[in-house]
Amino acid sequence: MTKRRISTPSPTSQADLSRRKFLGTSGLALGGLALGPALLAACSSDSSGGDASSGDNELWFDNWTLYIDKPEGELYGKGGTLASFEEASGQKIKYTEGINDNNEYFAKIQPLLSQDKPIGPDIIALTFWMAGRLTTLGWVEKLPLDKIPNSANLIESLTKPPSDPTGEYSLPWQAGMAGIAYNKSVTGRALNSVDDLFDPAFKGKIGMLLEMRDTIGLIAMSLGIDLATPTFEKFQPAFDKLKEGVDSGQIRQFTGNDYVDDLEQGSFAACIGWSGDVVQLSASNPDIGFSIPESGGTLWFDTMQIPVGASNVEGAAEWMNYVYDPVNAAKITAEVQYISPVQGVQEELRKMGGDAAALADSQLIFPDASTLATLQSWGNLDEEEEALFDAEFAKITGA
Amino acid sequence: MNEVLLGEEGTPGHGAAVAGTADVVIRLENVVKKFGEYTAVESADFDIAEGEFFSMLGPSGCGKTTTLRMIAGFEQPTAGRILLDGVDVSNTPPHKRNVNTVFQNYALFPHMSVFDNVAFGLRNAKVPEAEVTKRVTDLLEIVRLPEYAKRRPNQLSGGQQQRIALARALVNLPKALLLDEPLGALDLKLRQAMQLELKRIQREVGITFIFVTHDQEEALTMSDRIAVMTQGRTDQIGTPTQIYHQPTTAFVAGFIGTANLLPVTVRSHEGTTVTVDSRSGSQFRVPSGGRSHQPGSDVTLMIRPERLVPSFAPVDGVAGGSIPTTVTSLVFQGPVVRCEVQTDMGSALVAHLGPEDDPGRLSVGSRVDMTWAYEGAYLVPEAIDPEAAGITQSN
Amino acid sequence: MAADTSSDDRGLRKGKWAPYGLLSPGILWLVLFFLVPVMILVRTALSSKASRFANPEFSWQFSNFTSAFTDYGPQFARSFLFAGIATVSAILIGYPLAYWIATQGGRWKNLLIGLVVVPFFTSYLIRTIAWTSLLKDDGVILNVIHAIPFVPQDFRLLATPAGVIGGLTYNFLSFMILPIYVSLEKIDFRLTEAAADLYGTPWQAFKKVVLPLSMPGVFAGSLLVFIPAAGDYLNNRYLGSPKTSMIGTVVQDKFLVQFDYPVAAALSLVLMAIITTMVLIYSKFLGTEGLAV
Repeated sequence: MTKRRISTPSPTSQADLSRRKFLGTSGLALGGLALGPALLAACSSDSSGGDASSGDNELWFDNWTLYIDKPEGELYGKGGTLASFEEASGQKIKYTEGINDNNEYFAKIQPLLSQDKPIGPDIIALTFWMAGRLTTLGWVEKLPLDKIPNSANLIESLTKPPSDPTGEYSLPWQAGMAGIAYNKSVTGRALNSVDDLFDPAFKGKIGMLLEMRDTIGLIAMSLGIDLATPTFEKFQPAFDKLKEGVDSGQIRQFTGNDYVDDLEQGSFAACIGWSGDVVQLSASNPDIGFSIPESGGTLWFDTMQIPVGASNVEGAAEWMNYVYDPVNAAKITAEVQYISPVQGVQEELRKMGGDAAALADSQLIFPDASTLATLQSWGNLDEEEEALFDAEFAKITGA
Repeated sequence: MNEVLLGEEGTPGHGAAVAGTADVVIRLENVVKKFGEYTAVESADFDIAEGEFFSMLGPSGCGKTTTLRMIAGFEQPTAGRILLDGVDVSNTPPHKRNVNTVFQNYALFPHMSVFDNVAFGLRNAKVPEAEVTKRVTDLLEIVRLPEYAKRRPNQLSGGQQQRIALARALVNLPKALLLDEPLGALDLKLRQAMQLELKRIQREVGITFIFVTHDQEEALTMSDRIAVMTQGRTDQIGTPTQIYHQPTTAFVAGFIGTANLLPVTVRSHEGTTVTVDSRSGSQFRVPSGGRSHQPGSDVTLMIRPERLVPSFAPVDGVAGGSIPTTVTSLVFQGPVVRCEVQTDMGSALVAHLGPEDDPGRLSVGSRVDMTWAYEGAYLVPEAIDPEAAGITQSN
Repeated sequence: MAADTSSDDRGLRKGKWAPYGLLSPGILWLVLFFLVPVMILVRTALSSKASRFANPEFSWQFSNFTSAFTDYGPQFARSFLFAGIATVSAILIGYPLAYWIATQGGRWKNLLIGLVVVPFFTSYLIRTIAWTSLLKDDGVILNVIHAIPFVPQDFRLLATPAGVIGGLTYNFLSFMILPIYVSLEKIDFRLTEAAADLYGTPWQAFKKVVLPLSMPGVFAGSLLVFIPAAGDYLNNRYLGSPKTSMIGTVVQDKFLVQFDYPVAAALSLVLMAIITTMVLIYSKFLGTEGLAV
């Protein structure tokens, strides 16, 4: 889901602060004392921009950074799919990159949606579990599926996920996998099991993700716990194992997308990482490897949802239908290099030739059936269970 | 250090003899100070005796403060030596010199009480606290501010700060107290009061004072001896009387008080009397002032304003000379009338006329011969530019 | 005389409200962006939530505060310890630098002070992340340290308390340098001449005159470093580990991940209260009010 531009040399340049990098760093300006009051102030005011789109019935899509094909360097520039959509449909589209972090975005929209006020955007792209939360809370509109015939093109396993069993409230945007990322120059070997992360030889050199579902998910799977019907009680052993790793000093740090830097610099021998990042990283650094552990990896995806009070549901449907056309979807995949939810993209990429065609053969973009069989997605966590998970995870990460 | 260099009285350089056989506390030997290309002090070369009130007087930029700072140790001489009690201290840092300074801005420590300010030097010198208390208290008595011990400097008036600065330096019983224009920041009345106060304190403690000032009146009032400095040179060292009545340079003559200076040429020198020719062709007889004057040499005739009187007024003593002039201004100044006149050669002169001189008979534009007594004139052994002739006075 | 007085009085009465008028933007600002948020904070800290995503309801829920005290002792302790060490380090690094610029800077003073500030044109986040590459296990600094005999092979700076403290020190250093520089700049250095003249060695002159006179700057700098450092979480996030987490980490997580606004608010208030108390003790101890010259 993160589009790291390998051509960008500095790991810290502004443009490179991709979507995942912001996990856990949101609210940057809010240091110390200011943290509480400022956040509360933010919570109690309309900070998401109001319903600016209603006037000329423009369609507003709020997405993560660097998550679509559009002219390089133009933050709000329209090229690629955005431009061709406008041309094809006559529907004006406003595209913003307002999502840095699921929880932060939730904190921003929660005060409005809980009072049935519109938040502005017509489409938002939160990750499946957060999408599930919005669905449960009744804060998203039912999708006009009859106006999205191309949804028939979607990969079946990504429709009607546990977070949206009827498939009426969310449709996938892009998907990816969490697995084990490692730096062979430090480990000296390829890793393919979660237990390798707990190998004392790598003490103090192991990273974990702050994204609870990926970290706990992988460990749970290695302990034979399945993710489809999660309960806190069932997952306790996974938390115990993680806690032990932290207490013993085995685990060095919990990170967001910045694990990429730590991995490349050798501060991490291995860590839990996301497929898309590692595809791009290994292209420039052959020591970097990625594997789906024997016990299985997690499959996640970001969704498109229509928040309640959205003013342009028609246009939203039109957009969804447009990007589920394999020809259009392939153009996005060629750019963002994540798993496309649309069938037929692989063939379209081959047709495009060149670099795009090479992507068609990547297991990490087009996992075959045997790989897919090892992947699991998280089932829905109800409110209380999720609170327990988050609290326990926070305790272990030091928060 | 009993050795005293004796030289011709009232001349610069080694003539700067200390009166009598008093001990020399500070000796400057051909001290030079340069800042890069700029020479601040060309040559300072004099002795200062124990218990003396010694002033360095001159306009700003004359090198007096630099000389003082070299004595204090804030600057090192570029050449020459500074001896303190016979010991070469030229390169000794200030905190190892037993001299103390009263700074122009007082430089009192704003974060300390008056008591702590005064005790500062003693405590640095590790004097036992009981003695510190006693000496600080004594000094606050001497400067007459005993009840201010607990105050902060910013709660004191300028004059009080001045006394504290003085106490802070004196409490250490230095070999010499250096005062850098200490009265400059005070208003006239307070300044005059402090002049007397300083003099009293100096008598009371008996410490050598080296006093830097640009105010000639202040120097004349307080000093035992004065070094008049200009452009890095010491023009003359002498008692206030010598400096006033027997200036050795035209600069000194003009800087100390007001002087009428006229360029003249020596015609002859017989006994104690010198005959000179003025530019207008008149001849005057002038006392030689103990010097010998070569006939034909250009010198300067000095007449103080109080010695110049109109020809109709009685002259005190033997007549010395007379110049025809035109009155250009008359200003009543209380005890005297300031009368400015112009000679036929165009030089402006000034006379201070008392009631006995009957100034009521004069009016602007009236012709009058200005005369002076024989001993009222003095020959400065230095030529001046005729352009610069006439009234000269400092400030 | 009487007429004079009355006209003075009139003038006084006329201008009576002018100062308040001039102050009003400031007061308004304070009320709007300090007082109101703090009151919301207090209200939230005493609220409870019906369910996880419900809005907090005011209910005199004092247990939020007990939770703040009982569960997060280590994080509070680390916050104040790390911030304290960072403050002292910033003084030790910043004071000599400010002193050198103020006394030796000459005509380069403004340029040098500018250079002190220049790194801070970069975002705080970027600077902190840049430190991870600087301190990385296989980086230049670590390689030099490892070249020293008897340094254990697994010695590292990232993910250690030293890393976090280093980051805090670095990130807030200019907040120490600037006020110290300003207070040094104000000192009349003829006072050091006076101290030397009064038998003070250069060290004594510094200790007894310059240092006390620059204490307002040290005081201001300490507050400007300590307060944000105590509430910081980014340095721990990038340079620390789960074992070096600070109270800011908890508050951030409570707010943004766990949606536990009441406890987060209570934690913020406790942090605020402790800092305020410490500042009061510190100012009493330093007694800066008498230093105003």
